[in-house]
Amino acid sequence: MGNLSPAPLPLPFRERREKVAVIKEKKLTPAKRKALIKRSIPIYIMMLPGLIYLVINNYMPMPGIILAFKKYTAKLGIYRSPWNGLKNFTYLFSTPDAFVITRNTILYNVAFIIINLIFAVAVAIILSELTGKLKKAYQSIILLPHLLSAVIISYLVFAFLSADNGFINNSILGPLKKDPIGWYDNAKYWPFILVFVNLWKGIGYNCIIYLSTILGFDRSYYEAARIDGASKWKQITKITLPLLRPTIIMLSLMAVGRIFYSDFGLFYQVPRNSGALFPVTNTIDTYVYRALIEQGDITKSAAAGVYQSLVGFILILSANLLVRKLDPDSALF
Amino acid sequence: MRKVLAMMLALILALSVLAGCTNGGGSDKTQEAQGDNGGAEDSGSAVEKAIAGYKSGNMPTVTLCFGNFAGKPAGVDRIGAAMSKITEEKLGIKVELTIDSIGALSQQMNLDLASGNAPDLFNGLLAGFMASVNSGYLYDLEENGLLDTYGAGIKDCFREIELNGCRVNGTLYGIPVKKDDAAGMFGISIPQEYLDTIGYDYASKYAKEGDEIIYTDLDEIEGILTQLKAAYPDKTTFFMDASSVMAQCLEIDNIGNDYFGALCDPVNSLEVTNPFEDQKYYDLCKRMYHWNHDLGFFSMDAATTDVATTVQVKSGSLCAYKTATKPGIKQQESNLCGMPVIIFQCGTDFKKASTYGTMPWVMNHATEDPIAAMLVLNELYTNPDLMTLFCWGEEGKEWKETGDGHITFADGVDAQNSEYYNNTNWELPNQFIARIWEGDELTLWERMQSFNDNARTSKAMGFTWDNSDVSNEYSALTNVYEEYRKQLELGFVDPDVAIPEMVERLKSAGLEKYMQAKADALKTWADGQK
Repeated sequence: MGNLSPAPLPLPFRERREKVAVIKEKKLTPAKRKALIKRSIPIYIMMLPGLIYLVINNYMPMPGIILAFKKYTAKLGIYRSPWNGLKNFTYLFSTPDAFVITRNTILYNVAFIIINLIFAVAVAIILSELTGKLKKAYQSIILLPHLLSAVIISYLVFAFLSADNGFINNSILGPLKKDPIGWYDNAKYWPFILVFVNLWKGIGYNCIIYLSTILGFDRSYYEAARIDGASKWKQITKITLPLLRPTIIMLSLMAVGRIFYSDFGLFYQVPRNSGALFPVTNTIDTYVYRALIEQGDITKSAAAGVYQSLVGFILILSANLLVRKLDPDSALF
Repeated sequence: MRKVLAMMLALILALSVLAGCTNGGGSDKTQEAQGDNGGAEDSGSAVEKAIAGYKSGNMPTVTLCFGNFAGKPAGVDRIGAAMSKITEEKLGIKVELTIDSIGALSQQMNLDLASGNAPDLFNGLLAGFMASVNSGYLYDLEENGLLDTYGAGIKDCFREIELNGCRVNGTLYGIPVKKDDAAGMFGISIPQEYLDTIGYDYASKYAKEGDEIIYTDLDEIEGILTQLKAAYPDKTTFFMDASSVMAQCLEIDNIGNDYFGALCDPVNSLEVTNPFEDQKYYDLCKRMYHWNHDLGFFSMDAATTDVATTVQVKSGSLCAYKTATKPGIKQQESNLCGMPVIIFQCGTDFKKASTYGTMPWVMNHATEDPIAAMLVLNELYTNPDLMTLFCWGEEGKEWKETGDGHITFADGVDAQNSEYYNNTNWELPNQFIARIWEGDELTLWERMQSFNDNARTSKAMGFTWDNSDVSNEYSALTNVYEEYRKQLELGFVDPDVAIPEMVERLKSAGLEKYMQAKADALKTWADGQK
């Protein structure tokens, strides 16, 4: 960033900030304030369904967290079961695999955040520059993989990588007179395959917010730039990207909060649970799944969930703190 | 106007979110003690008294549930009503039946058990028997002499040692199902047609006429497979369902339901050892490595495919596969493969310690009337008409008499359009008393009983174990074993390299501690048996 002054906020943002400042300083007459509240009512009502959903789905189950600290028996129920201290958590750390699963979870997520960001912004910019009828079609086509379930994706990948009948071994390596590769036996390929599959699956969805933000930019910036003779590339680097920065930071911050979770379908279904790939596909979620599938111990799965969200919470707070130090306007809270 | 409309829409949406949550909460079933009818009372008169009470008062309803593979059968309500008619007349108790696919039900069952809304009687397979016991979901079937007083018929179906298979720490939580309790180890199934092509004279290999299994060894099988490989180069020669290799091939008893410490000489010794360091395991992996790596019998996709063996044979892509054997196996596998098969067997007939505890019928801990539930369960184990209905559906609708003692599909009905054809009778309480379907011999269940009685039996018969004290080790061990299992047991890696590596990692994951805990529990159990 250095000596470059931060790009001016888009107009709507600036207006909002000024209004907030006015309200905060209580410069409003009672009549004006009343009018303002009246104007906001529809917005609150629009927020209501989402808010109710959030309360029911995300806040009401919160007391269930105590399960992570209980020795649960159905007869006694959740609240009357005896306490179990932190014993439900130990299985996540007492294994020699603890390092591998934590490393895999974090490194994959870091790779996903960076690569998905770069490609999502690039695709969003390309789509925003497109005009004509095909634009909608392109957008739908790249969104499609996001709507497929992991099981279907696992079969699509298998159709390419199957050792006997796969497309790559038979139709690409075969004609090139190369030996077929046992894709599901060789761990070394999978970091790339998983990153690629994740990118392919998520890019359409990830670029939507960037695209809609770009389309909301004031076109007069670009007109002015064109009159001054700025090239397309200059417009992107000097106008689009700086304006996009708050959005990029916000979405990346939210992704950081989920860095201790992994997409179970991606890491369990897509490698087809092949044991030879565990060193590079075992994450916290798949480890917990394999450990508990026969035990059905809900306290331990609750413990894993608490652990993941707690670490995510700490990470998102620290990342936000860092952002606030560097660029206070872009911090989430 | 538009603004008002938009606000209305938003409100409606908000309300509908709320409305979605009103169902399902609360229904607290009170679980009152069933009064003071201890075992002291004469059982016959207690049963009569209970039945008279039900018939004169409000009929209680007992709900039954089990899972099949095909999903909810169309006729389930009709069969449930017909069963209810029998129990209402005889016991004064109504019965409600739920059947759905195992996958769908086992998710649901865990939730229902946790919330207390589960059916009264169900197959323990649905939520895992030991897992359900450990979570406190199941009713003690001997509380206040329940089984002795109201389940006398059940006690006649089993020997004490068989019932003990469903005891955990002395408490009886389930009743075993009548099925094949033993399994013939390392059975190999090969379609007759393929054996004819390579000119293999199977007819002369049977020990005596009328046998259904050829007893042989792996060298003989290897010879056959080599010829099959040459005759059918386009087909996969051999495949094993990866999830059951150890269980169906080796006479090793995985007491406590895992292989982290097992009885490697289960018929003679109660010593808990590491099966992965046992010669039997090495020999198996070495043989599979030879078959896969050197002879190319396996598909390269063997470790990742999830298509069932019999389906592969049916579609013509596979020549031979492993199965566990039992009386009636030839008919069963021929049906599944869609062509006649020949069954070979390379191992012994073996009965594991856990055999009676895998899929017992259990009672929900929150059941409202345990006496009514026990009376219904007793009826299921003893009433042939009720069991035939439960297994096969209604006469004239699903099945008809063939005239020689068998039953078969009713006119115009087949496996596809039948409204009640679950094909999972091994999961029901007592298929031995139901009618016998065409294709199976009328003596099937007698042969099954003698197969069960004559099989080599694990010395730990009836031992069950709650591993929750060492469950951390279990989690770590499972993850290590899963990493190597398919690779080793389907012969993709050299056991001389991979087995020591796996054993090393199992040990650092706590194998010794886990084995010691298991051995201690076994010793305590064995001392209690004397």
